[in-house]
Amino acid sequence: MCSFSDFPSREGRLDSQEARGDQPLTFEEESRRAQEYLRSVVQHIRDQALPEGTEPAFQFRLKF
Amino acid sequence: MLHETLLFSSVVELAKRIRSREISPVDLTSSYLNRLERFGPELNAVVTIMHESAMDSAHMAEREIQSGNYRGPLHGIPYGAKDLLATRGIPTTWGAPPCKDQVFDFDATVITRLKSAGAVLIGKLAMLELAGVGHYRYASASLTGPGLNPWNPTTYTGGSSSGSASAVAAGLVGFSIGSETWGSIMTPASFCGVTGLRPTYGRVSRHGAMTLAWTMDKLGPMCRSVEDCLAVLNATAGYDPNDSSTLVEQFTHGSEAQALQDMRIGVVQEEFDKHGEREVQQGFEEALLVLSQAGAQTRPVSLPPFPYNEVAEVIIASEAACSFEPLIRTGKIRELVDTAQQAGVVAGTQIKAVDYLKAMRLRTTLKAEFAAVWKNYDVLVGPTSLTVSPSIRGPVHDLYLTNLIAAGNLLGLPGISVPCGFGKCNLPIGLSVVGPPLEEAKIARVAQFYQDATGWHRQYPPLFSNI
Repeated sequence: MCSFSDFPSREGRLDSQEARGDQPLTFEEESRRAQEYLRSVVQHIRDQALPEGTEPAFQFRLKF
Repeated sequence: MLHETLLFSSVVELAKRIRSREISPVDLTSSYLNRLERFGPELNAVVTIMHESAMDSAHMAEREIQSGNYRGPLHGIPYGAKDLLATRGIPTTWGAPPCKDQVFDFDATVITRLKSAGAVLIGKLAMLELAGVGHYRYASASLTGPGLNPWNPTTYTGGSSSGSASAVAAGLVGFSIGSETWGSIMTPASFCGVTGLRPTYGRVSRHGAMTLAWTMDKLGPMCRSVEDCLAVLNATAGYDPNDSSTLVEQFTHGSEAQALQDMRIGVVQEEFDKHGEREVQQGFEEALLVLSQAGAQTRPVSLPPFPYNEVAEVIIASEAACSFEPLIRTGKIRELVDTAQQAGVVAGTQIKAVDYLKAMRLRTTLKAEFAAVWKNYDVLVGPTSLTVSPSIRGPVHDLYLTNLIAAGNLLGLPGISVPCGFGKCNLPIGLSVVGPPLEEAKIARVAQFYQDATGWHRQYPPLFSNI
């Protein structure tokens, strides 16, 4: 079922505040969430095994 | 003013009429400007309308064409550029309040090349602030408000190339330029029912474009047909000494509308049950039928198991924290609209170098695994998004990105999204075709065949095409 009850709305632009459907979190709460999320992502990376041959290299190209 | 049906024509169709002098670049530009001024702000699709300079360029194009100096298929075609491309003397806001007064004294290479091709820049188009780098929570994470989808303005355009997609969909420009780091061309193309091309990493110069993540940013066209995308790519691709990532290989393409008999197409298995909508799955399966009936060999393929999202998160967050370091250091990052964006960008500074390097090393293993995939398949296809566009009124931070978008961006693979029908609430859905590096012509061949066979790309939003 289509859930958009107020379609269509073309009366001028919706500003940011109006478009928000809920209460934004504080910066501190968003920071806590973002850091927690990145920690879990980083941990996942650390858990991966790395094969040989993936070492970074610096390519020195004077011209193409 | 030219009739609106003409303004929904493809670039290729418009070019034929311009070349034969059936329509003039001045009339065309004036007509698109009229629509951009009328509907652009309403859809939150535009940041800056360049009326005066656009009309000057249109008059110049008209004089050149009348004197027999026709430059090619973009000559006299009005277009819009995502507002992360530098334009001399015109604000380039990156969609972000702390950058709203930013003005560069040079043009991005893409802008310069399109100017050389005779295209007419009529506006800078809206985008998510800083291209949505910090994991925005709301569609409203933009200087210009939430991108409203012309197919239903209570739904989201997708991001971050929100204005680039909606302006093409609503017939406000002939074509547009978008950018993609992590789905930012493909997703809005799918949600807004337009054709979006993500070129091979390094195919198009990013000189003068906002940097989000150096090793992943791409610029590409958003249009009303595959042919249009190829015409724009042809004008913008190529080596640029100002962007060391650019490739020396030439972009070439012929007539892409060929039969698909010899084409081996891998059908990427996505988790519809977990993340998708039944109508999108159905539309995708019907698209597969069109391809197989055309003689293509379609076989299911599972992408190599890989922590796609985690690797991309670490790379993008680290590089973005570095590229936006001046905004973080000065505290201006706190002027972003969306609090989650502010926090997300700052959190990227916490990633350690060892973790970034490990993510980059893992990325090279994926490259090797995909080399094996390309031995068995010419292209891969999948639904661009597993859902139609969501409502703008709720959080959109949990939009699911497919593994095909993830792999394509991590590996810098070319991809194209074409409209392939409609899902719930008559909202567009998209078909993605992804190929090996430098194989834009190959993915275009499949996409154009599909497009010509179905005609979905000729469906336009009723609210904006029957006025």
